[in-house]
Amino acid sequence: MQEAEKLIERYYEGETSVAEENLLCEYLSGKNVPARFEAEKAILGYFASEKKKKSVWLIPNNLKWIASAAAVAAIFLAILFSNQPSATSYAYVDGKKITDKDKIFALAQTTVGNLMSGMNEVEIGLENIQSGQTIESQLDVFAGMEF
Amino acid sequence: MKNMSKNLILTLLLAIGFLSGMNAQSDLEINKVFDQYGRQKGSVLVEMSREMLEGYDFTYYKSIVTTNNQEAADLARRCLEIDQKDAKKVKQVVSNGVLSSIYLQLPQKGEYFRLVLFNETTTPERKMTLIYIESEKDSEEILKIVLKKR
Repeated sequence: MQEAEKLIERYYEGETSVAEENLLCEYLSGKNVPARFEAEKAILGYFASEKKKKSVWLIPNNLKWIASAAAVAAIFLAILFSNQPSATSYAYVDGKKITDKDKIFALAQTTVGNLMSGMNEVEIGLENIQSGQTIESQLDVFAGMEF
Repeated sequence: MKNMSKNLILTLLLAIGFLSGMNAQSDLEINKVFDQYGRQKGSVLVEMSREMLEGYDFTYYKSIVTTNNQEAADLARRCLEIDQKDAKKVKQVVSNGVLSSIYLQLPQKGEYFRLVLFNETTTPERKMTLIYIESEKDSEEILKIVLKKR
């Protein structure tokens, strides 16, 4: 009891350590506490209950980081899936966006056709050289000339 | 613990940045041609990815056709010069000292075989065609499929 009184005195002086305050709290929250300690009981009891309330709602630091990492992972997955094919099939004609599947296919076919017709021109030219047609046609220029 | 978590988040953010900016041909110079001229007047840009190409032999397709755009064709040629360094040249046609056609088999990227096809015709109008194809099939097989369409 005397010990409690000394602790209370030191508590009011602001000299108690955390361990001592805990000890005091334990004593005051116990049974058979003298009535003269009611004021201290109320004060320390209030702070103790506040501490408890806070600790109930406090999110552990680890959990915060896990939650942050999970949020980042969710964004990561969202971006990853948004890069999937469905989002990247389109065409632009003269700067105008086209998303119609059939039109996109038709444009792709035309493009491949363009490429192939271009290659055809070159190949016909090469074939002509190989068969001698080009050379013959060039020699024809001189055919009518008199010597 | 805090530092470790911060590092983890930073790594994830960097990965996000990297992946979100990553496209099939993003490591290639020709990407510049698609980016710079794809949405201009006189251009036709097509991009198709796996979902749309289901049932076809390609897993990714991107092409651009420009009409009477010398600048775009010249940029394509410059880009192809860089991209062809590690590639196998299947076919190349040079007319009057200027590259008019080229088929390139690019180095495999993961499980994907990659092809770049370029052609420029000057008559009746100047038309440049640049195609990038990705496939799980061998590039030569893909090339045969493309050429068969003739």
